[in-house]
Amino acid sequence: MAAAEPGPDHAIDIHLDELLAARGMTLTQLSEQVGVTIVNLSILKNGRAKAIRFSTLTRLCEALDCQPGDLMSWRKQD
Amino acid sequence: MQLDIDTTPNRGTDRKLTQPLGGAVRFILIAAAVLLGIVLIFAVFGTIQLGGLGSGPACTGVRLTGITIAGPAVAHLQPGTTATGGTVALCASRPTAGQRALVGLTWIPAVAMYLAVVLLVAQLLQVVHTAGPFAMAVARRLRFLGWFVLAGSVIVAASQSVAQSAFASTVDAGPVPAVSHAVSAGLAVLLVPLLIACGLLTLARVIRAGVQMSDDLAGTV
Repeated sequence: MAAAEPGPDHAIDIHLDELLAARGMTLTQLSEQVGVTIVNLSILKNGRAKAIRFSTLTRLCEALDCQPGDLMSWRKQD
Repeated sequence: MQLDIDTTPNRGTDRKLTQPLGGAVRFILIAAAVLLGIVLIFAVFGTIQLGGLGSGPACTGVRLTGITIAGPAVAHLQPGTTATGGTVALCASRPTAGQRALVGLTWIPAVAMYLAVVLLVAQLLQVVHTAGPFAMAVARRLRFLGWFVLAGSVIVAASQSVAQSAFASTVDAGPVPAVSHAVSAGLAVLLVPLLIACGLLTLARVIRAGVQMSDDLAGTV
């Protein structure tokens, strides 16, 4: 599954789709576990978020049992 | 998809946000409307004497420094104290149209400007209600209000002091040092509005910075 397209002002790819697929989890389930609305998780997943709080990142990593680096990566620009 | 970011700015849902200024503005507008209605009723059905308008005498207070009060203007002065006058009321019993116009110029521009400022503040508060406090529209209106107060108060003070001096020269047969008195009167009137205008312009910059911060926060998950 391809990573979400980055927003226009950054080159950070969010790999939420891959992590969800690897853990067999839906966005709704993640939303319930993390306490962030599905709409906001979709914004994050689609790379349209401008920033992510450490508290949100912590809960995402707990729910997905991953490191922040698994969730996002920097894409080198040409 | 509709954005549902956690920190989406409050779009003016809090009615208390614009209080107590909102209440004060509403009260002033209602009072002004009632007063205007009363004036119109009296103008139509009776005689009216208001600031030189109507059939009565035309009077205005003129700021004249250095006037020595002759006679017991302040009764029971303690020994060793003196009384000097700053403002005198000059009246023309049977004023000409020019004198009436001059007296009108001493207060009509000020009243018009204050009403315009109140209306602009009311519009500003309406924008705060609809767009939220940190919106570019709010910053733009604050900036316009600041420049309006700045330019308006200068124009009003100038017209007021010049009209007072001109009226004084039509009433007083002797030499009236009108220019120096006009300048001092104008400066006295200008100080507070200039500070308010500077405050509004600074507040507009602060709101503009707040808009940028709000935009950044709006994309935070």
